[in-house]
Amino acid sequence: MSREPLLPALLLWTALALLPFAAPAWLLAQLAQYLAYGLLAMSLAYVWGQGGLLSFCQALFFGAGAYAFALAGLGRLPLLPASPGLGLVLAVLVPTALALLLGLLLVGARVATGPAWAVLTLVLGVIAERLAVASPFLGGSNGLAGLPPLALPLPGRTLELLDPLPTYLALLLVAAAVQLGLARAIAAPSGSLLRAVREDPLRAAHLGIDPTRARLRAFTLAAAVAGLGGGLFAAQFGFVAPPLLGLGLSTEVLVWVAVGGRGSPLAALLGAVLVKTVEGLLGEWLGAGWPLALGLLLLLVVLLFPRGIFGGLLARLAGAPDP
Amino acid sequence: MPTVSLLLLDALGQALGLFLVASGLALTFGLLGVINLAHGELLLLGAYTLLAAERAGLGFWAGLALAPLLVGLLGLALELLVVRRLRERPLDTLLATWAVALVIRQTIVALFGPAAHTVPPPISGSVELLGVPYPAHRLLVMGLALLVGGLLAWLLLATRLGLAIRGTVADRTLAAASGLAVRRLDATAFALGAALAGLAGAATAPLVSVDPQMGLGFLLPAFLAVLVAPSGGAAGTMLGAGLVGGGESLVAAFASPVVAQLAVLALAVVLLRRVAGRRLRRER
Amino acid sequence: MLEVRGLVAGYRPGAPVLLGVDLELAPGRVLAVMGRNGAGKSTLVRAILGLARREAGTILLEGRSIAGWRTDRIVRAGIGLVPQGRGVFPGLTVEENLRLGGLGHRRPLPAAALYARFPVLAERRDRDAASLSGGEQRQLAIARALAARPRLLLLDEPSEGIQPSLVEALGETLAELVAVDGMALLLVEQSLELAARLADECLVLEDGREVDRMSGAVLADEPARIERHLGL
Repeated sequence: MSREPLLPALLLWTALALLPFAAPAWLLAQLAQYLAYGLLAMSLAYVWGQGGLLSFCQALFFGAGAYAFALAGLGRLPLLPASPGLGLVLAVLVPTALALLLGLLLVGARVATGPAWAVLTLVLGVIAERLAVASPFLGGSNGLAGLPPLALPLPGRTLELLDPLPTYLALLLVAAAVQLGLARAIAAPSGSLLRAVREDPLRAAHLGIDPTRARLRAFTLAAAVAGLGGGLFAAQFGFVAPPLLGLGLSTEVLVWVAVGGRGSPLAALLGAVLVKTVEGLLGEWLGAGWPLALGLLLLLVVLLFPRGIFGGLLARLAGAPDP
Repeated sequence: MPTVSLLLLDALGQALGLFLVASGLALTFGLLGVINLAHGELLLLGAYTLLAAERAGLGFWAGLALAPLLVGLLGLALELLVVRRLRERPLDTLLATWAVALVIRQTIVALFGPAAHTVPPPISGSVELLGVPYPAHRLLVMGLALLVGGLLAWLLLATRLGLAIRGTVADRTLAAASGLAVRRLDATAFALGAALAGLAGAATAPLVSVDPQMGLGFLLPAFLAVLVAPSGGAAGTMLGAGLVGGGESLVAAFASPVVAQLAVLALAVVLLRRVAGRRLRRER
Repeated sequence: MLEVRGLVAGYRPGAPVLLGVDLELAPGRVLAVMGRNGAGKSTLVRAILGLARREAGTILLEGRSIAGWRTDRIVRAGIGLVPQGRGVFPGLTVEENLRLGGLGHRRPLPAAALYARFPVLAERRDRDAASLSGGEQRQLAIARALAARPRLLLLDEPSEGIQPSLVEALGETLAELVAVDGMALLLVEQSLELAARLADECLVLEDGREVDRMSGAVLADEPARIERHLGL
């Protein structure tokens, strides 16, 4: 899909903004968590669906954001004060810098297409998780706990993001802003360039587009979004642990995005909410069978609905013909 | 001096063991270009086939024979039902085989439980080599890897099937227009690659802890080995496995396993940059 | 031998390149298909071999419909292809190229018989096919196709990009195939030389349709008529 349809997005955000009038607090807390995952899903949809870089380590940036938030919140960083607010800034900056570094090494190597990319991202995910487990600074396999919550300085008082309602509203605001921002990025001329690179890097290069730069930008932007999601996730939960970086979560987000629709961040976000909701309903009942069900779901979606459930739907709403 | 011998033997053993795993990938990925992320889980199935055979009282050698057969058949089914349908969508092949890997892994968990198992080696004891005693089964696996390497080279270079595979790799359309049933060749080569994974899993099972997560631990170094291999045949894969497996083993002797993995990753990136650069210059 | 009726074919659904082509070819005859770039000549060859999408029309080989067959089955039924460009398997030796040509077939022509016909290939038998000169590669492509003992040979611009003296020799080789072996040739060409020498009939395509048809004699004697179509 070349453009994100605006109307369904606005309808969705309006509906979600009205939800606190009708929904119980536990549901809001649940949705707030899903929206943080949704940020991760949107980041993957952007870099994969738009940029053609199927990243098997997207959770690495989510986890890096979460760990950056935790370290800053706990005051474990040298020379920096303990501050959740600073943590949220670092939750964006650290993954961005990490993606820039990895991107310069990998995307710049023009291995970005195809098998080498997939294998290298897989290896990165595995190594990142093992490094976190092995690092006392990052709390080892226990991770870091007891993070202070985010606090919003409002006129008159300070609002701590501990209760479900303000947490939900904050996540909703961020997710909506990111979704609309990504929609703009997709519709902008640079978005068309990125898709041109995805379709045919050699031809794009002949047209004067630098494929490496376009991909590097997409990779870095996606990492920033994933990191923001990770920071907000850590803020809600109050603790971080190595699985947030690892292949397990990276695989889960692949399933969300494939189920929702890789072409569109909005569809991917809905995919994350849908799969997570189903997991909440069936996961306990299925127990160890849940990952098996996830695998089968992914296989079926890839074979039968390559555009995803919501991706196809949104494309029809936008009036775009099937490619 | 004995420690140096041991170090070298371990590096050689690691490299040859990795070659055994990578040989199947060399066929499916190196030659046919199909990226099978379930290769590690096919190996896992080989190891569990051996485990099941041992439990059923069939013994090691029957299990070693059974594993490539069963896994090869499963590979054939995988090609016909999944891989073939995604031929024009390489990214989706990645995704679908990753899904298959998840399904196989969780099925194994459901059938055998998440815990690790050990399989006794068929020949115990050790052999004196380069002045150090070395476990006999390790030597057996190394010998098997060399045998598989030789057979693979023979298959590719000296048989009609190998010629047909090389022709299909060189120019798929021209191969079809020369009367070769290219789709049947795809399926044959894929099943053969799967069978080699099954064999590798069964052969290495006594050397490692057999658990549902073992597939990934083999998949990634094997893929790196094939990626950095200078050519797609048996000799190139052997060299790639030597670089990745031998390198990791040597670094791990002096540093932690994570550092060794990082070192191998760095090596792979450097080599890949060179390969990609060369390819790009050729295209221009 | 070959009968094509109302063939509509292309590469993407709903965007055919060929818009209804008819042709007939008997054993021992040569049909030249001519036209400018993009007229649909190569698509015609590819569609006959099942390498392009057929949307309508019939293709009969010796009375049997081969439309919808897989390419390798069509080839085994007796149609050989000498494709546009180099048409050899790069990275494989000359000998391996020739063996590959016969691999899918029950009674392939032995390499010795092919070497007798193309002596230069015998000298190069262990060389990488990609290292051969353009003319040698063209000979190898024809020899490889002949290994399967085809009764009909499709040649896609065989004279393109090789020296005039080699075109002359190529013409001799092809003429012998027709006269001695009774092979039928479908010769796609953009240049007049080879077509004028070999063709019994010439079909002219433009934008996927037939715009003219003439006998081989007319093609050879009135070059102005075909040159008008080719824009020469």
